[in-house]
Amino acid sequence: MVLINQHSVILRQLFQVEGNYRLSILGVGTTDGAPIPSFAGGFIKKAGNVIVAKLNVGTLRKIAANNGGSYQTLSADDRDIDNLLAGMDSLLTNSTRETDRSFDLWDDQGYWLVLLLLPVLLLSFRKGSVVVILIAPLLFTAQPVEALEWQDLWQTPDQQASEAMKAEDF
Amino acid sequence: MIVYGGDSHTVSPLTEDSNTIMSMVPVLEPNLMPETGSNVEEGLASAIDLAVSGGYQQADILLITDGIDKSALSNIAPIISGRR
Repeated sequence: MVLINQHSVILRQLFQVEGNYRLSILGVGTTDGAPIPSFAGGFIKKAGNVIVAKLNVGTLRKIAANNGGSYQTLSADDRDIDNLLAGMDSLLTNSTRETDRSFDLWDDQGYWLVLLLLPVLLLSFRKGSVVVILIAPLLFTAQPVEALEWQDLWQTPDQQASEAMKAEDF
Repeated sequence: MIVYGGDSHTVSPLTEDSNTIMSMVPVLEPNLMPETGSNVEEGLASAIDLAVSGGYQQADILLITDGIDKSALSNIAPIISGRR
């Protein structure tokens, strides 16, 4: 541990930082405590006994206060974070300030044009319109040919004759 | 973001991109740590190192913990204040 502390101190001397660092603590757990789940299933043990991690709110609160920060116990809503952030704002008013950077972020809204195409797409699923689209060119080219009749498109003359016989339409 | 157990590891360096950090949080779990334990001193020292090497003279460190070992209590203030 001494080594690491020294590392920190040397770094500060190198950068000549007279740091103003604060420690806030977010406590997780309950004062009753709970075992820590382990990877293999079961719980983490020490010398055969299950370790029960208890939250010592008083100690943590004192440590945070001694180091310029505040303490909150983890809550299900945003209260814990809001309270912690409220305490942190005061630090940023000195020489360092929070930078709010704004920049253009193009938001492509082009996909809304798809809505305009939707009615056309829906219509194209109707049987009738498909037929119309398919047949329209045929009708236009067919006009000069006088012998072409509607029935000729679907049945050969032999088939038409067979139908006529069945219907006794002589 | 720094995680600690028996030792400490920097998960993410100082960044304004909080989304990156948020995306890392769900995969963190105790058994990821190579050493089990509660070496809060090393975690805090790493945090200070990040701030110092980033050139920040002021920083708020948020420690999320379920407890601090008795033996570590007296070591914390010197790490945060830089005095020892």
